[in-house]
Amino acid sequence: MKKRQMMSVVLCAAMLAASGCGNSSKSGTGDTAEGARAEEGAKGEEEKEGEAKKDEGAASGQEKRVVTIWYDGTEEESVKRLEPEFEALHPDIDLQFEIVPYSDLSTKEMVACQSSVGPDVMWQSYAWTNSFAKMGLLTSYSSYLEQSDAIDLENDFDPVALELGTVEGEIYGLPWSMEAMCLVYNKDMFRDAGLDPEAPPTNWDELIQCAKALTIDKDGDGTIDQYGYGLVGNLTGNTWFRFVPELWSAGGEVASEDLTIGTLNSPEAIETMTHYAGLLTEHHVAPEGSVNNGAAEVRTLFNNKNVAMYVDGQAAVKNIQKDAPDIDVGVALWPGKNGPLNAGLGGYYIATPKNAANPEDAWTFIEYFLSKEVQEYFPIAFPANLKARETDRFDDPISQVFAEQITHTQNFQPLADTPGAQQIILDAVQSCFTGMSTPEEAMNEANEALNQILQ
Amino acid sequence: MNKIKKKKRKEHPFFYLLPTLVILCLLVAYPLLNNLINSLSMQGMFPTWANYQKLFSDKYFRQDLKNTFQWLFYTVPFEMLLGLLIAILLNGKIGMKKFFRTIFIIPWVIPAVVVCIIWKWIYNADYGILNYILQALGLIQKNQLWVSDPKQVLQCIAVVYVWKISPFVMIMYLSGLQSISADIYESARLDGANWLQQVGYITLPLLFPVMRSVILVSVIWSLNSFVYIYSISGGGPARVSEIVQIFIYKTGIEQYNFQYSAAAANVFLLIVMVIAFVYISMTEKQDKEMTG
Amino acid sequence: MKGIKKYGASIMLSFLGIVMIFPFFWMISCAFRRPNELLTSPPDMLPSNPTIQSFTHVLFETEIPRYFFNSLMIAGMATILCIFVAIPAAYSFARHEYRGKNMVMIGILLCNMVPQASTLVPLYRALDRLGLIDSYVGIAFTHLLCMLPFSIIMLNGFIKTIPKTLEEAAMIDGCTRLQSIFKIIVPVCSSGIFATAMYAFMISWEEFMYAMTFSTSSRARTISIGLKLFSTEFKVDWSSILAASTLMTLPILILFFLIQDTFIKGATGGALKG
Repeated sequence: MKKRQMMSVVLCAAMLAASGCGNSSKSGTGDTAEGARAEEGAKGEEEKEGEAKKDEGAASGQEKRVVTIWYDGTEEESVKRLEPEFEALHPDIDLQFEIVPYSDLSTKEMVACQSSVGPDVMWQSYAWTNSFAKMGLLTSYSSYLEQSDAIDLENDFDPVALELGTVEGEIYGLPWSMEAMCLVYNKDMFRDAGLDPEAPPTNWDELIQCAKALTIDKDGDGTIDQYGYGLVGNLTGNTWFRFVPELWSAGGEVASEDLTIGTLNSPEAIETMTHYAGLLTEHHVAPEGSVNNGAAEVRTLFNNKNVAMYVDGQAAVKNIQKDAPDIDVGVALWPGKNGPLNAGLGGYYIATPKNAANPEDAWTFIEYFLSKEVQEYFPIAFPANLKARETDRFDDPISQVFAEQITHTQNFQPLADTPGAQQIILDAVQSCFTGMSTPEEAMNEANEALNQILQ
Repeated sequence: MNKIKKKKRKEHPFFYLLPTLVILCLLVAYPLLNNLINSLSMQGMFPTWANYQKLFSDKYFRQDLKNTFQWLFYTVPFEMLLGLLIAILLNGKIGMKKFFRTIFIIPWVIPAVVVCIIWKWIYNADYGILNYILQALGLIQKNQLWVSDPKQVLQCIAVVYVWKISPFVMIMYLSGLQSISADIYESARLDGANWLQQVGYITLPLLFPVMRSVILVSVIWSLNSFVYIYSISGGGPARVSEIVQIFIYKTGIEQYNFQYSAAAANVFLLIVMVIAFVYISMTEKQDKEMTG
Repeated sequence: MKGIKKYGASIMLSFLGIVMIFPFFWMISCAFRRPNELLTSPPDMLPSNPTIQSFTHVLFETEIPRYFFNSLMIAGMATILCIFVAIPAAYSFARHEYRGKNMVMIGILLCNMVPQASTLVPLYRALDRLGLIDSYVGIAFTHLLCMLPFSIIMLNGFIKTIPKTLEEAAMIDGCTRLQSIFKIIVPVCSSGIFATAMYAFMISWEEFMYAMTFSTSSRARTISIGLKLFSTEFKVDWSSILAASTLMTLPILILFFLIQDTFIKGATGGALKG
């Protein structure tokens, strides 16, 4: 027992020393990156030594340099193919892929970027890279790109996908995956309701008519068993991706062009909210509990044949086909106010923290990763490298629709506080869903809150 | 006699506390200090109160404070009552004791994240099993909205919380009851005390130190419980079920506004400190009387 | 009269038991379903065509067994250290008298309230310097932050229920105070210590934020992260989550069922006179 106590005391003393060191390098609040860089030299060497020991068993005998990559696990299968292929080409580099749950990826990256140790390469959702870069946490790729022969940004990449990764002319995020959401529907339910499964709705009015026909009380007990439309009314990101494109289709936008004044109280915005919430409160074609349904819940309802239509991405449709093989899934362009709308562009950037231990080898990996050969098989959604899109992987009818939707996309505005704006939209949607306020009240209140964070 | 012994073996109490204090200081001293600096520094070198001023005019923060105390009221008394009731019943002479004890410990073993997933689907307004069962039993006519209804969302999540935490109260009381000798009950019975009198005059007073600790821990946990509300309702609809811990998490981790979040955390810490101080001082005297 | 009372207690316990056990039953029932049979309308109490595919998936195609072992090690280490450190501290709070004792206690208590969000970055740096990122020791150590205050408060309560006369008698027999703690307090309080350890264990077992931030590979990843890994941006694998948590709860429940008698002896076994 005494031994144990001793041990704990020793451990504590060591912790104190260590956190003390951490303090000294971090004198204030905002200078984390500099402090981290100062420590870099010594740190990097130590780390390489440690890693070298780890790889001693490897037959090559030469020291391998490690590139650590954090990703969210969606592409686990593709990673299994990529890793050996890359290491065969670069035997002196050891790729280490680490899975982080998607919901916590940004938190973990934020912590790592503010400390002295983290990954060399990380997956980032489009919106994050913009915030991270503005906070000064990322390495700029611009100088690497100038010298690179392998990557030809101007000709190979979709310019829309590059927008959010660029801050003040410097490129911090390189896109590798592009995603646009479409209307996903159950063709059998269309047939059963006497609708043409090959003529899905193309605008708001048709959507409402269609959804009404698909909302059915099957056993006549007074409770609805099947809803026409799966509304998303929970989780900030999920709701943002489904509400804002509708707003664009009505001619509205979240904020003015110079991003200083909110425009959520515009007639277009109020009209959008009236439509969006109206699906639940006026037309009753969406589940009563929509306010608790994030995208994952709505997807589960669709899998269990409880809703007929909803909006989702390409990877999700692949999962539905696997989990619920008995559903005849149809996909159509996302119906906006007067016709197909511009979906919000989603997808992934690749980024390198400012304090990365091994940026040089990370760049070697990035060049390989963004090449046509890898991009042809890697992303589940569409590759941002345009050359890599010309494979037969996207020849099936469902992918064709997604491919068309990709050409109808636009970027979300690069607001300084996007997560804050997402919360404001979610609050507005939820207060309309529950009848706590009318669309007009909700949007006026939302705009006030938005103006506060835009200042 | 006792006094002599005590004097002879006088030891400094901090000897016993040292390992604890060292461990805890290492883990929190720097974060706490960092939090304080973070919350103050806004304009260059000069500390300002801007974050705190903003906080007190933030209607969501005020609402969340109110919600936090409502939440406390919905959870702690009920978990106490339920836990105590089960403990007293289990401590009596009943059959299949082992089996019952295991049953009541079940919520303890299910991880909180999974608890939230299960209950979220049970509560689902359209396809949840709860609506189905209650309708089948004839207790409700129409599907209830449960956690989708801003008027009852906090109460519904409190039920989940009480369900998950009452085994804690139960097992702690059950352990506390071990040190009460059966002889005392026996003599009380001989004196003609009924069951309720035995509980009131023997069980509760002798359990007082344990009860004092259980209440304190429960209050702290309840104020700190973040996962249940966050995973079931996310603080919604429209932030009506948000408590301060969620406010801190959202502003800090989701919106990267560390300074504002630090200010909120400090205010909340101060409030909890006051509550803890009042509670400990108030119960101290009583505690001394009872344990003598 | 006695018979009715006994009967009444059993009925009440059975009723409460059904309510307590239902969500657990529902979890197991759903774990045996296919992903597209979770939410039928009207709902099925039992799976209409049960499958064990989620269980085999979790056991043989994922790293959940590994994470389970990691969690056991981390929670076990943390609990043992925590109890050994907490017993003397709790004893001191129960027996010593000095000014400012309450403030020390409140200080310890408040460690539990420090928002995790603000501890992540400093702790990450400290652990990194010590090379404890992605190790059992590192994660277990940070878990003490939530476990210690709880354990001290609870043990303090249990120790206070023990009459002082017991230790005094031992000390007259020549025990030192420290000896008396381990010879008298620990055995007499065994059920309280066990109960406290149980819950301390669970705090570490369930903890997510520290375990997630301070682990970077499957070497130290705990089960609560493993559960989260079943959801990616475009897929939430409910059946695997439920199957995994069924698999992880059953061994603990069985263990509790078997060893409970050692610690909870029932009213008749009470060792002390009040």
